[in-house]
Amino acid sequence: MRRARLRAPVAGLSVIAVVVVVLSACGSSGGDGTTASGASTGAGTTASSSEKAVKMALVLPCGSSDPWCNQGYNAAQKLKSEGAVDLRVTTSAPQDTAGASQVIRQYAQSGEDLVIAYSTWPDATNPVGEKFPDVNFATFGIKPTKNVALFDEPIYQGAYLAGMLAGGITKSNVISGAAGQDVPLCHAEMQAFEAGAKRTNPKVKQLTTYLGDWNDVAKSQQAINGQISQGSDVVLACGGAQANGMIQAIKQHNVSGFGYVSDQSSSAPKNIVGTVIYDPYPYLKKMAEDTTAGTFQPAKTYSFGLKEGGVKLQLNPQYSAAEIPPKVKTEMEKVQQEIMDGSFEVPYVPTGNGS
Amino acid sequence: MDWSAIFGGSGLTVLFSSAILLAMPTALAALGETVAERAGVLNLGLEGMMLSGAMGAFLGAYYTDSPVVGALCGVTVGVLVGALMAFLSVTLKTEQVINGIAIVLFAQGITAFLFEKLFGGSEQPTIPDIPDLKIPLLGDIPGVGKVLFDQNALLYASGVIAVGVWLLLMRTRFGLSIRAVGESPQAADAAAVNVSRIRWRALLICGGMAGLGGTVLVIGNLNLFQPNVTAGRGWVAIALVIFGRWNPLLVFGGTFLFGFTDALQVQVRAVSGGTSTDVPYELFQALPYLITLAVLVIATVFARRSAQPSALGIPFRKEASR
Amino acid sequence: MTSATSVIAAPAGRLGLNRRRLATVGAPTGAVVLALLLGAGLIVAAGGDPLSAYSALLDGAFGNPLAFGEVLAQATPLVIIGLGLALAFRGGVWNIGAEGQLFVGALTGGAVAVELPVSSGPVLIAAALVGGIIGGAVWGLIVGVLRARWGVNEVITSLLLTYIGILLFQWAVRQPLRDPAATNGLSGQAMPHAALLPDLPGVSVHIGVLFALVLVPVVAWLMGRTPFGFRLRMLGLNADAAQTAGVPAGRMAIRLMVISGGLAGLAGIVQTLGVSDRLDPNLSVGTGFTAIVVALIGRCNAIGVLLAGLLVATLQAGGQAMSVTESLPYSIVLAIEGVFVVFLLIADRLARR
Repeated sequence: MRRARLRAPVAGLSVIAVVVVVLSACGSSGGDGTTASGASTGAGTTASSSEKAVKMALVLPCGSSDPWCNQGYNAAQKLKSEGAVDLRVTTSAPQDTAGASQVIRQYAQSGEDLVIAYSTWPDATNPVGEKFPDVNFATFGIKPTKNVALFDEPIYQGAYLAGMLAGGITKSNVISGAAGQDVPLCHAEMQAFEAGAKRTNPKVKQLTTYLGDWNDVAKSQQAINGQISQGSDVVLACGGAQANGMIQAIKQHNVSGFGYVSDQSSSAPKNIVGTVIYDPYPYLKKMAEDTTAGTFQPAKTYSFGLKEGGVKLQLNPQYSAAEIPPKVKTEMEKVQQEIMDGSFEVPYVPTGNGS
Repeated sequence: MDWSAIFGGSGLTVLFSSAILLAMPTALAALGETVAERAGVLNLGLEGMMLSGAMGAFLGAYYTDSPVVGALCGVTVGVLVGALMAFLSVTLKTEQVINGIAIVLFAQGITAFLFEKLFGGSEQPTIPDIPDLKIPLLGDIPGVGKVLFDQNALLYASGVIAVGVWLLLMRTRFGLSIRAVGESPQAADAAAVNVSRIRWRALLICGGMAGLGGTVLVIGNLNLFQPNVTAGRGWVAIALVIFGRWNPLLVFGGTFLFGFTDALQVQVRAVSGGTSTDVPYELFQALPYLITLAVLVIATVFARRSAQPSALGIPFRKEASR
Repeated sequence: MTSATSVIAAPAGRLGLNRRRLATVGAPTGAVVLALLLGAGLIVAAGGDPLSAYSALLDGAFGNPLAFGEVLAQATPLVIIGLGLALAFRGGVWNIGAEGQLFVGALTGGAVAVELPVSSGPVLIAAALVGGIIGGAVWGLIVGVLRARWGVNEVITSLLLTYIGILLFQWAVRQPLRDPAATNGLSGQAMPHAALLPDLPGVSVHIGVLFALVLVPVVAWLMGRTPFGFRLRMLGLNADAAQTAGVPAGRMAIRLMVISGGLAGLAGIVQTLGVSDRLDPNLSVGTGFTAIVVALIGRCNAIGVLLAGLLVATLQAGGQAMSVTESLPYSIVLAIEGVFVVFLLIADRLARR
């Protein structure tokens, strides 16, 4: 019986094979035409833009309404509307290294000048970089290679300012942070938040939870509920799911919080004090300029902090001003100025101190 | 760390409320899966059904501003995906395991795509929260009252539906046919039970319950949708059906054991603030899985016989049609 | 009972053609055409042009050596794991936990490659591969022993151990084996250069693909020509009868879990040394689950697994390329993959009537 069944899949598969062969025959004849037509559509959209527009591709690990991807998407669109780039975007790209690599490679192969792999994808990007030495790449990750540049993420600088406000806002002297993983990005953000809060309110105590997961909104929300039950009344998140979980938790318990990466004020207008914004626009702009000028390679780590407009604390105008003591707000603005003019540096604490 | 913060009066209330919120979506889906598997269909598409239900619920509530419409949409979408599974597995009789995995793939793709199509480039959309409904008197019982009788209406409805499904499966004629069809389809067929029809209905119920699970996760709990919002809860639910030995009460108990452990580890880490322990947090995360595994092994060692429906995963063909 | 066969074959009957022959060739072809049409519908919904999208899919999979190398590379872990699962499933052991076994194998093999004070490439690679196989095999062994000794259901234990295995991996790359230079994501240590799998000349694909190719005849031989394979088939056909006939079901379950776990571990370390080049938490997003589909579409037959693995990898790699050239969201490609897999099954089912 087994034997009889075993021949069958071959029948099924061979039908597919025939279809595949037939189609690939069409494909090979029309393949070039397709690419050409794809290219011409691209040219059509840029007819209005300048001739030297950089052909840029943006590969996003999530949908473009996710707090993280939304920022990358909007920054690239802004650059496109200014005529600086021809833009192609892939949303919700495969998360695994092999799949992401294939998408990145496909862009490199199809003649893009600059491919932005907008996630922690060094393992997917570097091998493609080796195969396409004339194409420029950028990703988040470990260290730059000849033609793969890195984004820096000095989010902690904005978190310090948020912490200063939190120290003034808290009535219980307990604040909290919820982060996806204990990686330097989040660790430094959490430490800076605490340091900022202690500056305006030495009595403050911070509860920090590393969830160990970037995706589970429900668990993040429960963790933040737990923190709130311990008295926390100002919350900061690190990670998209953590930020979304925070929104619901602070709304339900009517406490305050800071948005993460993209402006979240409208999701909880009464509870969001402000957002620690990460804006990739100056990064993308500079990378595009360097690509045009031929100064992209050897690639480096691009870094735009508070001073350079890559990070900022954006306050929510709808948040009740009465909650923020004016003295604290003035002090925060003073420190912000000091960071801008370089007279103060936010301490960067990427690891250690409890895990 | 301060254990009284977790096991003291108010801490305990938070813990149990959190356990209910974490367990309910999984529990509903697991009950649905129990019905499907008792009818003999191994439905690995549960995660896809939950996810589709979650999306249906979100879109329904988002566009009508009515949580009731949202909930109905969530369940309906779940039923539709259940129908797809039934069409493939019962009518066409293709390999159930692959059907299920393909449905998960399809649902993950289509929900993420739809979400992108509708909301791409804009800020994270949300739906309004639904208020908690405190049941008079019962809700005032210290501790238990707050946990069990001061939740939102959807959670009460889910509890009632869960009991209904249990009664349906264990105490009605229809439930008897479901179990018969899963145990011995040939005998059921000989007794003039329409095997295909019963399995179809079981899968529709399963889809609806999974859709409800997704709904409960989104409406009144997260109040938002994001791609893969169910984060693997459907797979856990499948494991918990086996854990509960295909008995709806044990399955329900198992999901709450899992949910409680999960809530506990989250609470412990939230309350301790991550600073007072050097134990890796991955160990805490693994706790629900480890405890489920331990209980499973112990229970199996003491249980005498297998409880698995005999015809699980095997498509039924009438002798005559061969 | 209405089924797709009668629906599709009915018009043919009316035309007076040989209904039976048409049913075996026409019906599956019809299913494939239907799949292509449904996929086309999704592509149109996403704002693409189906014809150019499908040719982009094929071009992205077979258009040039780089593209085909990508198909082979993505097929490699699917085939390696799929072969192990094919053995296990044939013997009636439902190992659902290949994903976890893959990660544990990547961890143990990767740790060997990082820690072993050896500079010779071949030695290092061999040691890492063995380390990976052992890691996966141990993760499978737990499941096998629990089932053999106490009859604990392997579906649930292998699934639960998957979560635990992935958490173990995440802990390792966050703590003891973290790359100190990594800043914003979990990244484990890079593999020493000597341990990386070299590329095959001509196509840009690492030599790991050869492991898959070598394993196919080995598994085919094991299944078809050995007493082990005979017992395996007996168990799969009728476990009770096989046990009565003296097949040691428990020992077989342990062996099958060790073999399928070991192969999943091998796939994990091959991906680590050949694709990610480090201990990488993005090593796999569900490869171990897709391999279940591969094993079953391949009817748990070695050659079938190879073909199914190539087919699924073609869909994956071609689909990824298609999403780029046609500017489609990648999520729609996932949905299309789901549709294709379902209709492939339907076509297969109809071909067997």
